[in-house]
Amino acid sequence: MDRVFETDVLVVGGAGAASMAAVHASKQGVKTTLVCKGRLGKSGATILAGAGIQMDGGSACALGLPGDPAWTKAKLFQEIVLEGFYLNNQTLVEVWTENAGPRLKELLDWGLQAVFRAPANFGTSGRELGRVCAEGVRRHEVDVVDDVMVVDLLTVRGCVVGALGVAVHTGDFVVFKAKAVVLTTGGWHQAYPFTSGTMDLSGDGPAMAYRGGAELSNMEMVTFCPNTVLWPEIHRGSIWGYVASFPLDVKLLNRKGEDIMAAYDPAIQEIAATTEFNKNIWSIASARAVAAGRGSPHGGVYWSLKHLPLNVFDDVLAQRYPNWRWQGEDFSDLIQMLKSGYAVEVAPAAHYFEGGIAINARGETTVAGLYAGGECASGVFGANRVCDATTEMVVFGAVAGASAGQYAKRVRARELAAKQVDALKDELLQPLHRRDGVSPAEVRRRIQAIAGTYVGILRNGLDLGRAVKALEAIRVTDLPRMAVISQDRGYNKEWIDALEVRNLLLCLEASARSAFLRTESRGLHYRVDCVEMDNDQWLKEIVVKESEGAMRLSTKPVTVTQMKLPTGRMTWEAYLMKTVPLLHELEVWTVG
Amino acid sequence: MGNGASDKTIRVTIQRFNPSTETTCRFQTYDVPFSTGLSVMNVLDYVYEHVDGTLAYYSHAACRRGVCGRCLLLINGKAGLACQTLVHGDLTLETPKQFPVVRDLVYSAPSLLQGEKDIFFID
Repeated sequence: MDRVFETDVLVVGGAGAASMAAVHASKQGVKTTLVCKGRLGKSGATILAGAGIQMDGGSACALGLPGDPAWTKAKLFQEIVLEGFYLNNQTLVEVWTENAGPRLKELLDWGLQAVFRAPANFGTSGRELGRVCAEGVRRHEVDVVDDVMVVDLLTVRGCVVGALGVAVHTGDFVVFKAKAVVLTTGGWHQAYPFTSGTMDLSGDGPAMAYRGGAELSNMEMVTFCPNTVLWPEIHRGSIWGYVASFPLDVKLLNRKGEDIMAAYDPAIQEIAATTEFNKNIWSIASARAVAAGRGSPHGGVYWSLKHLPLNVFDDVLAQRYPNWRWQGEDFSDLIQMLKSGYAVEVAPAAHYFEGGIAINARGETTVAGLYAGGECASGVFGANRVCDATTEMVVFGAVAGASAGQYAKRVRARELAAKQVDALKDELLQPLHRRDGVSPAEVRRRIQAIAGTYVGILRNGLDLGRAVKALEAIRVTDLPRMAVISQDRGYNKEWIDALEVRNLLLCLEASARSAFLRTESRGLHYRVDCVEMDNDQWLKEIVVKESEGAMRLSTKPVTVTQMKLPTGRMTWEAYLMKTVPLLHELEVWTVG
Repeated sequence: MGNGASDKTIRVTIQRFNPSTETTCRFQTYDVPFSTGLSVMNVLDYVYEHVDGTLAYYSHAACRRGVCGRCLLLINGKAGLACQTLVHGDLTLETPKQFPVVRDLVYSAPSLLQGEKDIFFID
């Protein structure tokens, strides 16, 4: 027998956005259930966040903190849009700036341990954010269901009426009856062969929203975090290499020992050294070194401190990383390597997904009863995120939860369509019944290889076309052949992988198709065959929606409220050189 | 140091238990290629991906960065996180004794909110 949960608002997610959504739905006085793929506060993207949280100076002062009132909401707004290469949905940027202060107050009320930094930032850790979000949930009327992977939405005549999940430990189906569902599932990191994200980030939210009839947008925009540790394997995917790059003048070297930044215009080198556009610049430079055949043995570049005196270990690094620990990791083996004159192999890792489920300022999707917030939603950061995603997560999680709660108060519960539930279960169980076929792990490797080869940092139309074709082939040929060895459903890792693989494939295909269509370079989307940013043609969001069983793409103009859009064409580098002085005027940068 | 490649293999002895067909745990041994810098989690991934797809270990929502704590195992008799324990040689991997086994190396452990409110576990 399936386990059945009846609720008003169902929130799907692991920590930050999910907790906020659940708390704010519950505050509307409706029954709220939070379902986590792992454990609440111990899963999802949040726990690995850096983690800084931003707001405006006035809001900080209102909280009794020594904020700088000159750091206004208007400046924050401009910063986000300039850094987003003007692709931002400006209505959503306003939601971000208006709500950052109140949401931070909530986290502080729940006991967030964080260090305040002027003008209006908090530094904390992902682990602490996970803890405090779980604490927030504890203080409110929210039921929590752990270790259940929600696999699809249940709809009746185009309205969401619940969701179907799989209890990972038993393999039993779990049916959730709900008036509204809030998706806060984070990104689709695991589609990439090299990522800084947790294992549960497999695009479940965007994929099930798409299958439920919702629109996705900006799917071509993917942040890569440069200097992420590539080797030794135990540290693979750790962004320590990026965060430890700031107090020191780290050199990135190719396999010939040459500085990969040396050939760049000094102005771009300066931007890389002094601004957070370094994520973009170092990622492109690293990808170029590898593409030119001058990468390190594992396909990255060397992160070297050899040009610095050994004193920096004790005088700088040891101060920042006591006992050579950061977050949950012990880096003493890397420090030993570096002290001996070796370099650490690093590479850009798939890190954050600007695109996702299209939402409006209330967190509503285009499907009745379906809401989304946090990284799995799209729009606020446009073509590039620099500002803290942790603020996005708390702001938009809360917005989506509150809207879902209000909606649930207005509508009556509807019966599920039993036939839909049964058909869905049959489909999901298929890999368990097949005797021969391809393993889910193998299909995932194929998807990751396509992502890494064709939909990475340096893009071109030919490769993106190849990616679309190859992903279509996987969808048509491999997905229906996926077979798992063990028929027992309790913690059947292959089966869980099979359920994730279809989501990874869907997100990557939407991304590759969008990237193919966008014949310009903007923000994170860097096309070597169209190096210019084309403001006349491409200040548009690319929207992906299912229509008659096929993925249909359309465009819609950027939503503007405060900041006029630019015109004309310019190279990506020229945009940076023009924009960085504007950001300096706003006094944005505080690298390190 | 170098890039760690070698022809060396290690013996990895892993606790197996399938509640549908077994009443007690047994152990199964695998030979796995060894190189410097591998974690226990990397070794488990290798077995799952290349040798035995039926192996269960907590990974579907693991962080791999020593934060979530869900991959805690007895590693050669000593408690440690699979993702943060460097492999030096042969391994014996078991679940911590105090928790009921779900399957192989997966077990049922308390959550952050245990005892504070009703948390629904389905195991």
